[in-house]
Amino acid sequence: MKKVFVIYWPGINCEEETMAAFRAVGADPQLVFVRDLISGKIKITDCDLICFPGGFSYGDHIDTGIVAAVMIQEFIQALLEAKIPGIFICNGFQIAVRAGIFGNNNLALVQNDSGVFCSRPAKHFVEKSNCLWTAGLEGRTLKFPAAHHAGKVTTFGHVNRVMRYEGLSPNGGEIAAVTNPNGTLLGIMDHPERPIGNKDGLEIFRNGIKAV
Amino acid sequence: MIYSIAVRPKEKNGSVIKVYYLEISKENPDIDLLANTLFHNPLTEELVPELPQENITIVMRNNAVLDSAQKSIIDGCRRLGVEVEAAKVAHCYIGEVPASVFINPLIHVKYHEVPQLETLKPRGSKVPMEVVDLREYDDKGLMQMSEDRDLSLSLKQMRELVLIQMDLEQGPVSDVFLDIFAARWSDHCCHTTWLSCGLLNMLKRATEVIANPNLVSAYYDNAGGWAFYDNLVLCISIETHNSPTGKEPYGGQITKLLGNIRDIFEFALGAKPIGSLELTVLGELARKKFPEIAGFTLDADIVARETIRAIADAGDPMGIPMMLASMDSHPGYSGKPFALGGNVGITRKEVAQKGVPRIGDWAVVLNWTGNDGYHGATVSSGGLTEKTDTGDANHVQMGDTFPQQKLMRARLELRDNDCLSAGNDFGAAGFTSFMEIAEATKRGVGYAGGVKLNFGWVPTKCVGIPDKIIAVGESQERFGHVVKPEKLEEAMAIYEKYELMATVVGIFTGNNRVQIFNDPDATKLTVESPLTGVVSFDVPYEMFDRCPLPTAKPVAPPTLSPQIVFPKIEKKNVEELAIQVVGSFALANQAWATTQYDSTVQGITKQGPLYGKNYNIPSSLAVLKPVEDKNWGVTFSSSFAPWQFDVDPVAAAFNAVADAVIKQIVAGVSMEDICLADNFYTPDKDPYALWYLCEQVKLLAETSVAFGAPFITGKDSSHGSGEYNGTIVNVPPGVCVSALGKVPDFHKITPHLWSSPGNKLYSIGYQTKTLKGSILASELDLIERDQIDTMTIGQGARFLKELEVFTQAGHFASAVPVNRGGLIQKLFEGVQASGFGVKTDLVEELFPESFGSVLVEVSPKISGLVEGYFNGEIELVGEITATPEIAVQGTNLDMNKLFNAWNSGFTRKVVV
Repeated sequence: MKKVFVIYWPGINCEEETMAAFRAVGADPQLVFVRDLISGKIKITDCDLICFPGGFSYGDHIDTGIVAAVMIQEFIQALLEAKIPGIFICNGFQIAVRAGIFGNNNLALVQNDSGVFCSRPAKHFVEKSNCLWTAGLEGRTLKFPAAHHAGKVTTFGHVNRVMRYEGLSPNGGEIAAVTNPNGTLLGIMDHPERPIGNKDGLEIFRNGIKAV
Repeated sequence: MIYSIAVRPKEKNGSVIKVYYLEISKENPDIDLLANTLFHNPLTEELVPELPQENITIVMRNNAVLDSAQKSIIDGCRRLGVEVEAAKVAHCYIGEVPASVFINPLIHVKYHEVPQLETLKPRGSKVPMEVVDLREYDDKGLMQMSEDRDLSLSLKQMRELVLIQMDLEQGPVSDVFLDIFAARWSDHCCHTTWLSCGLLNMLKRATEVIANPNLVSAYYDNAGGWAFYDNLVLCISIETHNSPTGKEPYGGQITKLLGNIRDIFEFALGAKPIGSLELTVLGELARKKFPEIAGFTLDADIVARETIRAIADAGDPMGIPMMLASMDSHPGYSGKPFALGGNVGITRKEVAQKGVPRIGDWAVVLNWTGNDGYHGATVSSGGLTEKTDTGDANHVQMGDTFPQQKLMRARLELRDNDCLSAGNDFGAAGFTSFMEIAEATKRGVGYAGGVKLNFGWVPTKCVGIPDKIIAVGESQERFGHVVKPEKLEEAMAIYEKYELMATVVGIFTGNNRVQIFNDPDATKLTVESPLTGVVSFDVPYEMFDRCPLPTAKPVAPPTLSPQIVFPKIEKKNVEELAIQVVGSFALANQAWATTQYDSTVQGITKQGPLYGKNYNIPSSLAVLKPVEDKNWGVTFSSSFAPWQFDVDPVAAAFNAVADAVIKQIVAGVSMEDICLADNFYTPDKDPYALWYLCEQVKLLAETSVAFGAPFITGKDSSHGSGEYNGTIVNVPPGVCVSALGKVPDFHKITPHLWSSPGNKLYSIGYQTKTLKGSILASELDLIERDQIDTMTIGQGARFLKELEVFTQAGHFASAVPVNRGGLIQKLFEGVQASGFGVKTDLVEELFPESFGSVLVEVSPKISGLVEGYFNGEIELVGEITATPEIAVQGTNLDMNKLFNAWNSGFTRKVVV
């Protein structure tokens, strides 16, 4: 079974359903505490796949994802060099962006246009891209819920788009998911792991496992 | 030294500047590194080298209230090599402070020029323990002492304390003694009003009579326990936090929400919270009945906004799906809003009973104590008066989500590793909650009780916190755990893993005494070790049982002579009246608020809090699927209608039970699988309130027995009155009833959503003909005390049984309860949710509120079967049509007008 590291920072709250999604597609998810990475007890590259789940790492204090990004900063280069596929969901996406996983100075996740948290169903049209997580899903509309406060993708340079919102956008933005240049990493604000067993969402997780 | 880093968004051109204040002892810290790495996103923000000197308002939490961001700031800075000792986040507004920003003088400090701060740490000075010889006081002096010290104790209670002092033979008593007894004997903790009238026993006896095999525990833990499937157990806790919410809504509502969640994860030996309930009833939005109280309480729209902000800010990070959420308004709640919240959890049968300490177990406190949250229990038990309302503001602490979210996870790991004998949170009354853990003898479990606490070891937020505040201060994020000595090391490792501060502060002794001393230099603590340092409390448990109960007798209200005449409802005024109903504050589109609460986290939500093609219609029943590989469903419903309670408190109580239960039954839940929770909120300055309360409790007990659905948990708040310049504002005597159920397969739940044009809609159940207590009556200002006709308890029990059988046969394509707003509201919601329409020949029947009846969708093929089965209790409402219109006797209502009223009825009063 493919080993998936689901990283836990204090304040993360979606780790269980995320691990359930990986289990549902036959993977072996393991919850890894960031303190164990910092102490050297666990090496971040000792996995087949990596996932930063959703939540409110460090209470979203200062700015969404920034404290968690600072905590994990020293391991990012090793992670990118190992070319380990990764999925970064909601707060995990915010952490990844602040940690430079999707590039530096090209992308920010800003407050929703409404100015408030938005929890509602959302539709995601899969665009043509090289992202391994959405291979074969291009042209389809996937349904899974949004739940975030600062999820509007704002670009400051080139960004590889993977999905766009169809119908009502929960944050006022158009882009729903992005990938890195070689298509191994998926950053997504909404929650393909919800509800547990969501067939649309599981196709994304299944693609990740297939790729490794 | 205090350093500041100021940041503003590039896009908004700096009308609000965020200022991070950092207290750092070490010289020459790398502030630039912090500013550029941690405190500033260069893509969207820019650093502000110097704050403007004039026309500014800088707002931050005052020193007594810790900034919830402090811990994260310290952690982040430490990772970057800078040791920060304290931190605060301020907002600097240039020009006018936006109307949407609420600055609360109880929490915030405000500057109009750049402040020169000396420290960010809470400051305190050592306050010595006071001692009082109660024997020296006459009755007047005792009552003055009760008032001056905010004890909220009656003369009888104060007199009893004099006798206890004499019996103890320890000389004068301490301020700790007074505060602990005040907390233990408060109505909040001791339920004196209920005890004096035998009310709690009434509900307990009813639950015993029902003897439902699903019952796991009732009325003796933080929550009630109800068997789920396999070896799993559900637990439910519903609680109010009314006292501070009108004055400090943000902190009050956070405290409420987190308190409910704590009740679940500290249930028995630990449970996982899986669903939340939010219900707040505000004053004044619906009517301007009490203009003279302006200035004593906040405007209701501020309370509404702050409530929504609080529930989102605190609830979303906790990671518990919001099951149902709503907001309502009635002038009686102008003084003290009805701030109700609830939570449902899940655990295993073998750990579902309340734990019992053993002699030699360690008393471990989580987190630290501040001088906020003092007198939470006693103030919530006192009526809201000008004094308590405008005086000491520290009676409620700002609950902090972050440490509780971490503990919620740690608690399950502690449970699964068998580290604890028992545990409890420090809700209202602080360490006295810990003392309750040690009071096991009442439950007949063989432990003699007794705990010895060294307050000198209690970690505090600032120096000099008096022992009396340590003893009873609420400190929401504090918890007391009873750790097995052989598991102490393992438990401490779990606390550390989740970055929680845990400190041994005492030991369980088995000597049946609560003993408190303060000796920071003590190095050893055993069961036998003597009390050293300053001894503030050494009292046997039986003394707590000597609380004198009030002797108030219920006074029946006078015979009613109602005067109100309702307008005739005809085809020509249906549209106008329908607009008033769907546009009312309570029934209008509240999705703007509800969608701010995360309802899908955990991935277990199957229904609720909203539904429909635009996800904006409120569900009447929440459905969760908490077990990954099973289809078992948890069902949850709730009912509270303030205008009904205003008109007929007793009939409305029955309607609340019937409504909460029928939402479950018509969804397909079996009656034997439903349990109930009660939350009473009654006024203390209404001379007839006690009579109504007694009648309501009696009726609830009888109804639960007749239905076979036991009450397994409940809370009461008997101080719903306020007095302002001689004007008394009373809440209507009311009770919110919630129902928890289970189904073996959630797929078989009857949906809310209409399925097909051509299907027929029937109203089934008792059909009331009156508008008394209805939303329409409230909109027309036609509310007076009267009698509301309902079905009898016997009729209700029989009907529910029949409905249960028919529903479970799968005959209904969809179903919703008919309650507030009557049929017209349900037809409008049905159209909005489905995109279909409806035609009906009913007119005046569209507006009465028949609680305990349902609107069901039936295929024409079986309409004869349905009509025959429910003969005499069924009315054809109409037929579903293909286009989104409501046709009444052949004439379409103006859907644009209805939609606009419904869509704006809530937001125009709340959103600025």
